[in-house]
Amino acid sequence: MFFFIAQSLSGQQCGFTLSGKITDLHDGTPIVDALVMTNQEGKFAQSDEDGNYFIRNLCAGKITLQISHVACETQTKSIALNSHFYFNIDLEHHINSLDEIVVVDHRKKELSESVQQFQIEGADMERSSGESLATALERISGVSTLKTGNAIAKPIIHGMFGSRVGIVNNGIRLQDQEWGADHAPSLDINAFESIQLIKGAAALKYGGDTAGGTILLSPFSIPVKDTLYGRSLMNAATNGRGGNVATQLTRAYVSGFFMKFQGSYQQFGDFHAPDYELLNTGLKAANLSMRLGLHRFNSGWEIGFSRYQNTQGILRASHIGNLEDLLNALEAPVPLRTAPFSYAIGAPKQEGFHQNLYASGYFRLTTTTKINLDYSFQTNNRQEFDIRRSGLSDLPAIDMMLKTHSWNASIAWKEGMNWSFEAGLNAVLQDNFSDPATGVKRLIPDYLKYQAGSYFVSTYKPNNQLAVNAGIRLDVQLWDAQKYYNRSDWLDQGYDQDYAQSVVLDLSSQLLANIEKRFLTTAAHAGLLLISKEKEISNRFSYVHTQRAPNASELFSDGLHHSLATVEYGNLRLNKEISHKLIFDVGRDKNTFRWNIAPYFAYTTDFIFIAPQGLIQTVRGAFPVWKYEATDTRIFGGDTSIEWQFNKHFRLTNDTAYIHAQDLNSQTPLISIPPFNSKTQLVAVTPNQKWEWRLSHLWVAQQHRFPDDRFDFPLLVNGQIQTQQIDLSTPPKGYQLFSMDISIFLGKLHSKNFIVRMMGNNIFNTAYIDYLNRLRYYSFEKGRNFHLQLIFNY
Amino acid sequence: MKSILLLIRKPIFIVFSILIFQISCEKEMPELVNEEEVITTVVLNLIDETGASQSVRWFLNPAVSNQASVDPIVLKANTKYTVSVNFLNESDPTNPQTITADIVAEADDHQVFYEFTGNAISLSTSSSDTVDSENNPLYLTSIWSTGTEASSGQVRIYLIHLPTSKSGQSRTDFGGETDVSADFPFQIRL
Repeated sequence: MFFFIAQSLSGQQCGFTLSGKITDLHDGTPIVDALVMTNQEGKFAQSDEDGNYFIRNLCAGKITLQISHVACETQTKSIALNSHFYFNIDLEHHINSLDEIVVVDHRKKELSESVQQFQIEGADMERSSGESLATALERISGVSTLKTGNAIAKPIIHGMFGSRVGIVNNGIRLQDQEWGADHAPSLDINAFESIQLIKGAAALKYGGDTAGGTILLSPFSIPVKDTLYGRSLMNAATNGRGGNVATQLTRAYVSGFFMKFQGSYQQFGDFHAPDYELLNTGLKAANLSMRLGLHRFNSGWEIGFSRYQNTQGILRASHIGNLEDLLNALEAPVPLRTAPFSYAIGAPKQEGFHQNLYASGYFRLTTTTKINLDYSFQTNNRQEFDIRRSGLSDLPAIDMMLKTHSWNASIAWKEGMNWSFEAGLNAVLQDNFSDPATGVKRLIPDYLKYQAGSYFVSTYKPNNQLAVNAGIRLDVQLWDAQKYYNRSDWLDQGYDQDYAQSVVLDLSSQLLANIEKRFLTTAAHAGLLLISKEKEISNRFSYVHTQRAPNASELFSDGLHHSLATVEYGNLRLNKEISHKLIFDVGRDKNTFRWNIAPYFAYTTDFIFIAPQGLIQTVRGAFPVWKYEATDTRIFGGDTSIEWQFNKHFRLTNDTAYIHAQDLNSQTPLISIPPFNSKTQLVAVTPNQKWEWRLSHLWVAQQHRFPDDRFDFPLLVNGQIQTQQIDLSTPPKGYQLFSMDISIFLGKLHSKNFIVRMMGNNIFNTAYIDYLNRLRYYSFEKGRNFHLQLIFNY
Repeated sequence: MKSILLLIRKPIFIVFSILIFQISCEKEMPELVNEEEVITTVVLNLIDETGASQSVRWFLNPAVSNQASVDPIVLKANTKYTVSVNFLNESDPTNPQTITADIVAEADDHQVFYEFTGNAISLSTSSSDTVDSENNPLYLTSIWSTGTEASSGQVRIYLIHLPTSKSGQSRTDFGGETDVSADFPFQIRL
């Protein structure tokens, strides 16, 4: 259906036709029935079934267009008209949904237009449904994972991880003791519709301290209609002999009211490397979430609750007593403890329990001004169990409860046709409690942390070829910690000089200090997006400035890591980390050959890292000590991606990333930087589109740039004391892995009611070691895995 | 502003305001952790055939110092010593705790191993030693026989938790995790 209303006006400069096509920003499908209005009286049109619109008899001059659609955010554009003009419009279309998420998504888009964004959604989300967040993100060029064993993984973006990467769950930063390198984000990706990654720190709304990037997890959008639907999926894998089930059910009403329930359960037994079982690497996890809300155009609210619980075994052979044990483990061809396959999870293990209760509301003051309010209360309990004497293995050696209240308030508005703004305030109150009943010295002390922030961002978008955005953010953070220090450590660090007034209790061997710290941080970002006239080539350039206050681990950490045979100390003297980052991005998003090249450069002063400090004497023998220090660093690198669509049936993609990171003070490379890697994938689709094959190849090179932390150690060998050099820093060799993936769509083609997917990872059963696995000294990585996935939409 | 007034009536905003004022202000003083499993002290009791005894200590309390204090062992040449070892937790000097009883109670999970420099001392089992469920000696009590010549060296005592083997010639043979690795210097006098 296509109609237009036009009135002819007299005048020399009139009679021009404006036409074009309105398409969905996400997938390019035509948008039907969108209304295009002009500032000339009576000149408007509605798009037809192919998304085309025509407005005739327009007069020359500057024309302002307002494009609206029931399921899209209204857009305004202006053009200078002096001839017949063909003008295509992209709308952000979300089928039948008017809910808050659309608007949030839309704003995110604006906020970060000058930084390339990556989204994992649809089929890739399904493929990842049996995986962790970090593994799912590995699909994106420039993202690697930092692992502790096989299943504990956290994302590394542009060489940065932990506190330098923000994870935002439904608009609120996830607070789950993210500072710990050996601790995966506490969430189940099956509760989310999409994962969005913003490299750099363009998402100032969520914080100004994430120099690596921000990961935004968006919950499922809810349609505004009377409906009841669900989705269940199941993954079963041969390696680990386990899998997961996940199900969700949504009830929505045309009034905008909705309810959603989601649950999942996952269990795996011991994983296996090519030649042996990895004893005690099983895991169990359960997730439950509920949402209830009313989403209308002018106002809405939502409350929700989620709980995530997991138990994660840690490779038994990695629990060692001292450095000699580590050396023995290194020299052994197979882990020193192996056993037949089992589902049992004993010590050492981690248990996590994360709960999130949230409420949010929004309302519009005018059609272009919207106010958002959010509150969330998160509790995160983390327990680690070590192998202990006298039946104490059942008592956690670490037991921390982190409670976080977060409040956000923001206002977003538009000025005229081309300007949009957003300003907001947020506050965080965090309370950490380390249970003394563990009988082990606290790794992280009890503390209270107060944080308040404010931000302002603006976007100027005069036409479809140019967007400029800029933003600033200011935060203040207050720490109030109470920590027991060993008297010897207190004196060794010289804290008796600088922090004498902090001591509140002086016991013979220990001191209780009340440490108060305040950090004021700012962040800023400015970016430019330029799209060529044919809309084929887009260029993005952005500058991002971030400042990050040290985290709890960097300030206060105090303890022994069994698997790494190290003692780790925090450092009270650390300053905030200040980073400047430039990201450039050029690419062709259309046509059969699409490509993207994104080089970046980051210079950081007071970059916080952990460095070896020599050996100390313990009852277990001499131990290497590591302490958090600050240095200046320079990181540069580039991510490229290529997609070549040969024809309707074949597609070839490649993603490649390289990072070069240097400590400028010592002129040595930084530790744990992902080596050069390249992923290539060939995709084939049958003519009826019911079958899809994918063949993937991953090549990870050896990292040749690493800090040489080899040290000499006295060993007793055959009755003689010998000095032996210990090398724990040389990275392992490069490797190549092949994977395969077959998808079968059953049921109706477009609704994809039933999907069967078969995947094979590491199909040649390659034995390899990953440099970014903190337990790489103990075993090879996982061997071959076959995986069956069933998805049922109803 | 009418819309704001309307919204205030909604329950969600009442919930909001309650939560906003629910802020804890001061934290209680944290308790000192009572570290039960720590071993600070290794004591060797050496008795020769005449019944003369000596006791030597290896002591390190990391809370107070990062340097261990060690007594040297002085032995006579060509003599048999019955040597018993004790492990203690003396982090609270007013309340020393013995760990040895826990080791005896979990004999299957523990093993003591001595490693000497040179070959001036030979080690053998003692009939009064503790044995595990499979009759393996734990070497909590052992016999040291000194050689005929004057010499000096070092003995390293290991306490191994959950060993993968209960016998061996070197530390590697036992597997498991090292709970104690303490060095004593020794001298053999004529």
